[in-house]
Amino acid sequence: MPPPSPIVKGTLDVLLLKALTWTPMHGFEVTQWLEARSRGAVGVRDSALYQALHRMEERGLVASDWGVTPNGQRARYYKITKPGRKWLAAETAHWVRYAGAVTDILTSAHAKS
Amino acid sequence: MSMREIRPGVRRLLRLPGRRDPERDADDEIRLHLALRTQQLIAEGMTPHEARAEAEQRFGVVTEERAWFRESNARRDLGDRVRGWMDDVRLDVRYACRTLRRDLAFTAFAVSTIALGLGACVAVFSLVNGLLLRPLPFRDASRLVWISNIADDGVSEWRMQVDHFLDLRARSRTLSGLAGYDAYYSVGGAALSTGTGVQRLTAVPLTCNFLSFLGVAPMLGRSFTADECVDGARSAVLLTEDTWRHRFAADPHIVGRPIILDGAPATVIGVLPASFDFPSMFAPGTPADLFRAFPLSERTNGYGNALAVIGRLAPGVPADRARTELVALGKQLTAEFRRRNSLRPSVVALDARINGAFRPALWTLAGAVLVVMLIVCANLASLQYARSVTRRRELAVRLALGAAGSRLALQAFTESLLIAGAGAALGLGLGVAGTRIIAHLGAFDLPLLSRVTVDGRAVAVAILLCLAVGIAIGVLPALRAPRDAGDSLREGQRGTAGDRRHTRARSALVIAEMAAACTLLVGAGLLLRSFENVLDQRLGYSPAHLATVRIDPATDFPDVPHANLYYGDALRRVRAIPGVTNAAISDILPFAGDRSWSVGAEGQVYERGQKPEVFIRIVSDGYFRTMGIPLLSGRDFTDADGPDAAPVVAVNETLAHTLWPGRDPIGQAIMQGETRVRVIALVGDVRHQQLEHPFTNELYYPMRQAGVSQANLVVRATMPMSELAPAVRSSLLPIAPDLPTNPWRTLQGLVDAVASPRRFVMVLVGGFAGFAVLLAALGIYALVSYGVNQRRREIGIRIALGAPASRVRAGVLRYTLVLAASGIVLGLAAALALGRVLRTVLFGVGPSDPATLGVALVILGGVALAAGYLPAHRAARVDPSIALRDA
Repeated sequence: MPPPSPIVKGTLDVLLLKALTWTPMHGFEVTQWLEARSRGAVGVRDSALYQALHRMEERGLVASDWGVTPNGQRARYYKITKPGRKWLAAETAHWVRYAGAVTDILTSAHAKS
Repeated sequence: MSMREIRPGVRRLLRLPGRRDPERDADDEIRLHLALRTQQLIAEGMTPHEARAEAEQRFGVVTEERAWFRESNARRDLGDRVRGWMDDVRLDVRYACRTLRRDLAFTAFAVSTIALGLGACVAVFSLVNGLLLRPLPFRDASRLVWISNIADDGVSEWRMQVDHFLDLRARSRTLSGLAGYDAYYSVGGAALSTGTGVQRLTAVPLTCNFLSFLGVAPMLGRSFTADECVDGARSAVLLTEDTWRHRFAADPHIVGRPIILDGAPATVIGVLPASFDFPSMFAPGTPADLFRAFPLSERTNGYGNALAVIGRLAPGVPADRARTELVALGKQLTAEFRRRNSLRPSVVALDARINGAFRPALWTLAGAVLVVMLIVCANLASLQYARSVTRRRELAVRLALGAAGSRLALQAFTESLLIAGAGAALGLGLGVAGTRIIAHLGAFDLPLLSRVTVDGRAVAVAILLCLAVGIAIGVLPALRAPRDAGDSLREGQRGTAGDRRHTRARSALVIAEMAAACTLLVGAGLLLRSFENVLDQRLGYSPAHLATVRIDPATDFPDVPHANLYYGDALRRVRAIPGVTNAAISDILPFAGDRSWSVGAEGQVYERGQKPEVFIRIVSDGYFRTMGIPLLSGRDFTDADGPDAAPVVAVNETLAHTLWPGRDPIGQAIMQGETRVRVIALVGDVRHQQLEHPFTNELYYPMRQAGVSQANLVVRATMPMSELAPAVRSSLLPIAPDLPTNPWRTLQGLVDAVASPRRFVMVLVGGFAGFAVLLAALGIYALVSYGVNQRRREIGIRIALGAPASRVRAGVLRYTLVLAASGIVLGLAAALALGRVLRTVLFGVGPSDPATLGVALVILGGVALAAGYLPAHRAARVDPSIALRDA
């Protein structure tokens, strides 16, 4: 497995929200989900992930509440809010457009010249 | 991980109890993460030690992160707590709504009684606020004082002579200024000529500085200039906003427009804002359409005591010091200028002068409405408590299932607050409607009435009251609910300590209700007696079938003979109308204005200021007959008492007694300057200022000798007003084609207007008392019924053992009467104690009038018996077998 590449700035929030669209999760579940999805390609320091979650909670994009894990441990569960879903949709569209443009440039510019 | 979406309610159940601590939260979140990561790494093959180190390394510097976490958590925690609290409130509200819906009859009753009580509170508060609490609409109004001139009798108020006014202004150090108006302007005294005819308006003459002194600025144009305030200047006129709008079609170019006033050219110099409501402060119930300048000159000084004076206290000077100084100045000026009228200034705060007469009545109303509100609260508190007790088992079960006592208490409160809120919302609406009705009671000469509206303050009062009511009716169930619920589980259903406590608490509430209702009932009774006494006052004339209208033409007559010609003709014509029994003319009618001066008997020497003060009327022949004033001896005025005949007057009994005690007044004479005026008639006394006032000296001059400046035609007729008015108008048309159209008034209407404030207070307090008695009766009924229900088994056993129904019934009634009697005794005691407060608004009846107290006692006793009868009857018919089986 190659060493994970550092995450592109600003994309962590989108990825976390995407994770939470599946189901409310606690922080560790989110890291698991991210690692599984990116097959280890996206490297995030765990604390950065919590910071992002807390930041988004303050912005009202996610909400949290205490619950208990199936193993009976006390855990803070995060879930995406309605504004969060809206923001995610907008950011996703933006990202797809941007990434498409960048990909286009990187892959076709050389062939033309 | 299979944590699916959790419903908020369920999650709330999972939430761990106890207060949350942001620091612990932060630690918990980090610890869990590290633990799970370590587990995962161990599972992947690391040693526990390595795994732990790796997990910490991946997380980052733990101590650093923790600080950040904690901060973020603390922020979040507050939000969490608010959210959790909101969740609780939402749940409580939903729960309360459900129980209230189930108990619809109770809810409707509670909400409507609160609405009625609170509506009354809001309306009365708006009245008190508009009339007593809000400052007058003048600049720095708290420093304004009313300066009058105490009459020689030491009681009545005179106005002030112009020269005295000027000297006071020059000499006073405690006042920073003085302003005034001519108090003897006549209502409808100004004739405005327009294209279509002449309209009668009321013009008030103001001193030059009057408006700037009060801080009133014209909304159009300007105020008077100094050269408009001298004798002989062209008349400058300021219009009220209403006059401008309705007589001049809100002409934006009105300033500078020439008009014809009293047949002479005048100029409109400005329009005053609607907020300047002169009559509502200085002459309630009368119109004021325009303002003219009142010159302070030798000529106006000759008017005598004409100026109504307002002063402004210099900064830092209390009213007392101004009073002391002005009294001293008055003595000084009186001594210095022997030719002037005497001056004895009295100084009162302007607002006290304006609303002082109504203060006791308004505070009485405020007190009454608060008592009503207390009764409403006591009643609902008792009922709420009863409901909470019947729900005891439900609460007990919830307590047993782990609900915290504080939560149950909060729920009980939520319900009470909801009821109070609904009642308050409805009550505010009622209050707004009631206030609007009060403010538009036209018949009612209350000052500042136009200011009576439900404003922000009134809404604030409503909200405070709503909270107070919610707490008052909720506090008992909230405190008792958890405890009673506990008792109920321990002790089973019957005869518990909780029961006894409950009955005691409710009995106390019902007794308090009864006492308050009793106090109100006594108050209302005393007011009713006073009102009857006032109405029973002998008027001295009979107002029924009497109507009046002004018939003086727009332009003044050149002399008295011309006027006599017109008025003689007018009377002949009106008397000839079929259906008119009689007609006469007077310049001032009872309860519609006053004028007095001092008069002495011939040959009697009076000290300065000792001449009797006499109210003057100028009347036509037939006036006494038309009004129904008895002619006790002598003869009526006739056509022969003209300008060239010997001057004559008529006196009333009081004046005859004052001037010639024990002697026949007919043939006596009074001195009017150097002229000897012979008394030809003795007539009955007439009530003319206030119904409550004693009779005063009255002197009648014949119109044909004295001349009238305003002629009120008085007609006694058998036909309705709708026919009388056009008939009189068309009969006068040939001799007075430019007769201004004037409103008709009935003399009964004038009497009613004087009695209306008293009637108003009486009707309101009476209504409050009725409401209070009804609530108290319901309170007794509910409590006694509850008692009977609780004791059904015991009653059943007694009946089974052979107790006669009558004895069972008597037992319940006795219990009712004990409750009622305790309340009544307390209430009568309170009424006696409070009676002193009422004394100022009572008339002809003492605050401890035994008849009134007796009637209140009988009414309340009767109502209590009636309220107790139904449950007593039910108790007597308890079927022993069913009662025993049920239990």
